[in-house]
Amino acid sequence: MSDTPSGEAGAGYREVTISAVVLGVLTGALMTAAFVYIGLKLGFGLAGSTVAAILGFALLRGVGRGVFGIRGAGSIVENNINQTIASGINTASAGVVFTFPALLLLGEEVVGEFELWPILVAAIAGSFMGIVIIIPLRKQMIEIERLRFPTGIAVGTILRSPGAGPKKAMYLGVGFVFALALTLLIKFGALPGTLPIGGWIQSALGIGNHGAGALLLMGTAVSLSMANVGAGLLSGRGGLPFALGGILAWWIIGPTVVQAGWAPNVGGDDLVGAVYGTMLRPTGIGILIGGALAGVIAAFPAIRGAFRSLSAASKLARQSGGAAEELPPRVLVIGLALAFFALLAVATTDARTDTGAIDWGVALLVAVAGTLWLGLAGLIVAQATGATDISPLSGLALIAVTLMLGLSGGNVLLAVTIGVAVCIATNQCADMMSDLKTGHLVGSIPRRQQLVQFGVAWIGPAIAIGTTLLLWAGGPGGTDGFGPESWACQNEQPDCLPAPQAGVLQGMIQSVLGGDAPLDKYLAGTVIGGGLALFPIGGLGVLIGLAMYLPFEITLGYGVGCGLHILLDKLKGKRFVGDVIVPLAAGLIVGEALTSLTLTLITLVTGAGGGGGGH
Amino acid sequence: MRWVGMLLFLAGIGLAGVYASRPAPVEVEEGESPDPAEQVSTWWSLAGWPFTAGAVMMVLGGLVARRDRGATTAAGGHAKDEEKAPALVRRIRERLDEVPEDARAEPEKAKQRLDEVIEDLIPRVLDRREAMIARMGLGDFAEMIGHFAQMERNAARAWSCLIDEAYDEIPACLERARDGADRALERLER
Repeated sequence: MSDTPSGEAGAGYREVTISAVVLGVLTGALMTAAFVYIGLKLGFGLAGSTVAAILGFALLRGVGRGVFGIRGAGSIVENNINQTIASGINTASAGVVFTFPALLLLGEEVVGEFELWPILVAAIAGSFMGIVIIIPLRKQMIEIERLRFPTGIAVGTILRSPGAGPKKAMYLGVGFVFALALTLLIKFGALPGTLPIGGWIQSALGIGNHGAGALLLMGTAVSLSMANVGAGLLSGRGGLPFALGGILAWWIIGPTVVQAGWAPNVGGDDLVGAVYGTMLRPTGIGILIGGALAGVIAAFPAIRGAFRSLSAASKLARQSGGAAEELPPRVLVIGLALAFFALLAVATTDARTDTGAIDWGVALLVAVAGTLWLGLAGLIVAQATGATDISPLSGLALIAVTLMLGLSGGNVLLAVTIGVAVCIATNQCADMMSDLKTGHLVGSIPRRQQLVQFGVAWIGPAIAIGTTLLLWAGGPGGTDGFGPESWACQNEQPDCLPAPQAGVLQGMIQSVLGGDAPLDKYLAGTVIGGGLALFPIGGLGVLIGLAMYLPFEITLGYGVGCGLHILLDKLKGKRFVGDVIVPLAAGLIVGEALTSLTLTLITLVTGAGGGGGGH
Repeated sequence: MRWVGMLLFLAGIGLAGVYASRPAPVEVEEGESPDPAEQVSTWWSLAGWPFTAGAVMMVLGGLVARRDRGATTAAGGHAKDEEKAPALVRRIRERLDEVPEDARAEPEKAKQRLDEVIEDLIPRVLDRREAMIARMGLGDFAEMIGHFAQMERNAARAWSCLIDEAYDEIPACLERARDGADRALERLER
């Protein structure tokens, strides 16, 4: 690699260059450290692709051409490599923040003494695993199923903007400004973040806070997140089952459950929380799993076709003496084997008994189940992100931890270590798929995107774990630097890091250890998810499961976007959707992402941050 | 039949969903954890049969809907679309041929042709996806669409090269795009 264009196909066109890699690594590393801090402070993760793409424009194209006079610097595909690397590194931050701090918060009395290297190995194995899983999934989901990957389209629209013409650029700008304005109005309290439509009807009709009707109305709200509406606008008809799944959950299942007297005898938000948290959400997780498992079986001919196509392309390239555009299937097999051995090494370390002996049976079982679950969770996340832009990360990590606690007889260290790997792998999978969708739109060569991601996949986990440990050591006496019990939070100091997501996982682990895992709901949901695969709409189980797993305001906001897309397609035609709606929706997604990031950084700098929660 | 299948499916998923969500509290001594098997069996004793009835209705509804879709395709419901897909790919091939080899000399013409391929013709082929799957089967469709995607990606790359003024790269992209279109067409016409 040099700062002149890379060799083989496309030798004259700048794609994988030193400047793209260096900028991608630097941006990714900075975002990882910053997003770990944001995650511990506020409890949510942020997407880095749009930030990296815009920075790439300014630095690779603007500075590269304007200041250094490099001809052709910051080409569309070069900037795509930059954003692929940056987001590929940064994606580890969310995976680590949700899981690893829980181990520190639980403390030695629950976890025991532990070594750091197995966690780091598991995290890096998860990061690589997320990339290898998408080798066949890229063909399946981007080429065969044609999933939308809204963020992938949004980033693609930004990258293509220099040649898209003034009208499309204008619509992109309109969407951006609208989302920016709305986000600011919400942030400063001029507008609510959610429109409680059902609540208004409830007040107007004088309906109380108890009973089925109250639940139906109280649950019915529309999120004003423009990124959410934008994702729906890009998805159109394909995303409609997701919105319908929310309606099924909140207008049919929830009220029926309350009417039957199965919900706790509480009212208002407590009722909504109880129905959502103990009934709809766990059943939704089960449906997600069943839908994904059945989806693999239903899509088997297509997956076989995808493998055939990958092998044929690889063979053809070998015969012609060139390089194939995609990685061959054997990389998947080798990657899976390496991930398995890495998890086995981790499991044998963590499965040491009090006498120092290793329980090989447990270690083997955990490594096999962990590898299988990594694959399945990657598939679920890729499908969910492809259809809706939403990733059910915490639910999948919860299942991983529950499964591992069950298999290992309550070994918390082992369960969380595998949870770290699953969280990072699934995030990596979603990010890589989104990047490959962008690449498909701008004409990047998938193999190059995958190879650069392979080259940097270890960086994100290392930085994220390092930053977490650094912040943990920042407490008095070099420990307890974050969490609700930390000195800073107890004394309401501005540098309090409540680590809300890790706190949620900590609570989940404690409830699983106490026997409170809703296994019945997971199992029943899995059966429903499997049955949904029989209906002739691809990915229905994952979409319905995701809709039950999420609050209704998100599902409904997304549904508004889908409905608008369908309506405009009917009234104005496909060309209008492509020329106006796609750049407008991309602008909405990018506008909200960048405004939220800027506001979050301002909040942190001015010390006005507080606790928060994520899904 | 289509509506019967749909109604059966919706009623089934509603019923199964309601009973899947039914709480099943297990009584345990203080300080003890409930046995997972007991937890599931308690739920089954409370919700098992209505849940099964809902699941069966859902499966039947899904099968009816699936059969209905198969019958519609067999009756030629999408016959026109199927005929058009190869014709559209042929038009894509023609437009790719019309992109000037030396795009530097005629960048506007090159962009116009590529825009037509990327924004008009490719989406129209993809609109016929369901009909193509019904006619070719999922396995053959997967193989065909792999070649089609190679064409798409390389047409997009040629477009990016044009915008970035990397004119020398364009002929190679077009060659790979044409190759992908030819292979996709060959499989479509098989």
